[in-house]
Amino acid sequence: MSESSAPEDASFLERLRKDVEDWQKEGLVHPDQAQAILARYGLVPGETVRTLHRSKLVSIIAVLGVILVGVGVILLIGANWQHISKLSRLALLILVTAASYAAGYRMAYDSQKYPKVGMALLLLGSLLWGASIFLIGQMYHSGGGGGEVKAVLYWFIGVFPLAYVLLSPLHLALSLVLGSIWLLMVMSRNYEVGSQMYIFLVFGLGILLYAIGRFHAMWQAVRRIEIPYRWLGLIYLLAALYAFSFRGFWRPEYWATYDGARWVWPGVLLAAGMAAAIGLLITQARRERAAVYEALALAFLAVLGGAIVAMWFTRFGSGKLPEEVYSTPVPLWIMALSNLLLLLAEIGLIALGWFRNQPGLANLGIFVFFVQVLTRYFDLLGGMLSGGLMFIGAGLLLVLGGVFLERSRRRLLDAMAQRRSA
Amino acid sequence: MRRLFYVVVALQMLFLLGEAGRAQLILMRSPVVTLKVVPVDPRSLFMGNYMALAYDISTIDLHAVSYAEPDERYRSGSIVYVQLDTNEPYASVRSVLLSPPLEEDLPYLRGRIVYRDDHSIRVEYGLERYFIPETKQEEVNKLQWGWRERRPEITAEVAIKDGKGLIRRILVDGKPLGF
Repeated sequence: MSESSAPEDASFLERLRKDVEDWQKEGLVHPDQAQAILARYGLVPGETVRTLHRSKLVSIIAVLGVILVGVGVILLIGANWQHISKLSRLALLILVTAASYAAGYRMAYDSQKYPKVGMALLLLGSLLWGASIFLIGQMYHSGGGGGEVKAVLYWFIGVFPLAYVLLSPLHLALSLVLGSIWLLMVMSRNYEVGSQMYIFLVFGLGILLYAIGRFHAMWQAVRRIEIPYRWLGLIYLLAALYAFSFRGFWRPEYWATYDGARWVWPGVLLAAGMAAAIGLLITQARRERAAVYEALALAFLAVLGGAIVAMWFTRFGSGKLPEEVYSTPVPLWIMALSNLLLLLAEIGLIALGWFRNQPGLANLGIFVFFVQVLTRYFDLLGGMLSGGLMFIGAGLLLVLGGVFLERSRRRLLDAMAQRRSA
Repeated sequence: MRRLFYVVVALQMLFLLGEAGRAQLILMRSPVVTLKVVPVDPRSLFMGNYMALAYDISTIDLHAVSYAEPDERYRSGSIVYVQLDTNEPYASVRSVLLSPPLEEDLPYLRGRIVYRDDHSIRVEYGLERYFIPETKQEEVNKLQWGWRERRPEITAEVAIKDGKGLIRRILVDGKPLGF
């Protein structure tokens, strides 16, 4: 079911089913159309609101179950149990992996009797496949010198195509997490990096993934798997913006010792994110207004990230830092601006969630807002005067924003009323 | 979709069999060199407990071996091919090259420079972890404490094929570790 469809609460679905029945009786819609409308919200023939909700519960329980089994198997491999020979362990694991795939496919696609459990078993197959790679690494002691990094890459490469073959959001989520872990491992292995580098990598990756998710949403064939891209992208993006909001993040001495090569990955990802956002802007220009703002926001964030990276690199990239930098505190305005940016992102998310009728987005925005407020409250306990003023300033801005929105809403309603009376 | 699914799963299985088979063949058929070892003991997130190993060929003084000038090309992150003299009792570095050696009369290991100072480089070969059973951790800890006091001779037998090395076994004063 598409996330862009309306809320999935039971009362809505009950009402929809009843309304569609009435529309059909009144001849407003054909039976085919009625079925298509119900199917859009997951109410396929034979499915009731109750069974639909139960099937979601089944899905969640089954996925949690296979995650537990998968993690358990990886831990068992880590224990390096000696009672079974290494080759027997590998043979057993390959057999169980193949069996999990076969059973999952049969249940989800061939018989279609247990589609949710079947998909969960297919996910288990992919987890066990990864465990098998680690077992081989352990058997032949090839985890050193980047061996573990390669193992994670192989796992990602194996699972990613399955996400598209099966159109499985679960496999996509697993492979995206693996790909992200691999990128971070590559960074930590190649360079002695500080946290800033990782945060910019996560920032660029967030923009790119979110934009890819939006492209998937436009393409019918892959629309089903857009959610992991968008949600993971959003989580990365918000996590990076949250890290930016700390004053300590901007201390120059943490940046100065890095050479140019170390900015390659964050730079590439930010550039790719920027290109994707511009592509999104071009393709979405005639569609939906919210989508245009969304693409503009992504492009702005990518440009901003790129500009910060370029500016810091040109200023401190040589690794030589003027002595005074160590004794100069980070200006407060940098912290204020980065907090404002996070606040704007939260408001943007809440607005997008409201506009698209996706409560999840709005909830995420509200959650991050509270985390930010709590963090700043504890951060600024030492300097209550400046902290208090900042809170009051931000609060007044929000209230003024509310007044502006209220006024524009009123104007809109007046205009609509005038149009109706004319 | 069914065909594509089975193709991807078959490729995954072939990959596992290929990786294990290749490693097994290297261990069984490739020449073996003995390297001198220096151990420590951390833990991998995915593969369990291991002894972190360093070798006396891990740190190389460029001026003491043959290398491709100028030495500025040997930077942190560069891939190098370390040709070994298989002298008794341990193998030692003959040359450090930036491409695989053409004459294959001597075994060579492919490695990656992880640190560079004036003349010396530190190289990782993918041989730096020896995985141990969780149940043997305490035994290993005791052994290692003992090693610190009496400094036994620790060596690794490494099978090498086309620059890839795999640890066959670890020997302490000539006796193999029992795991």
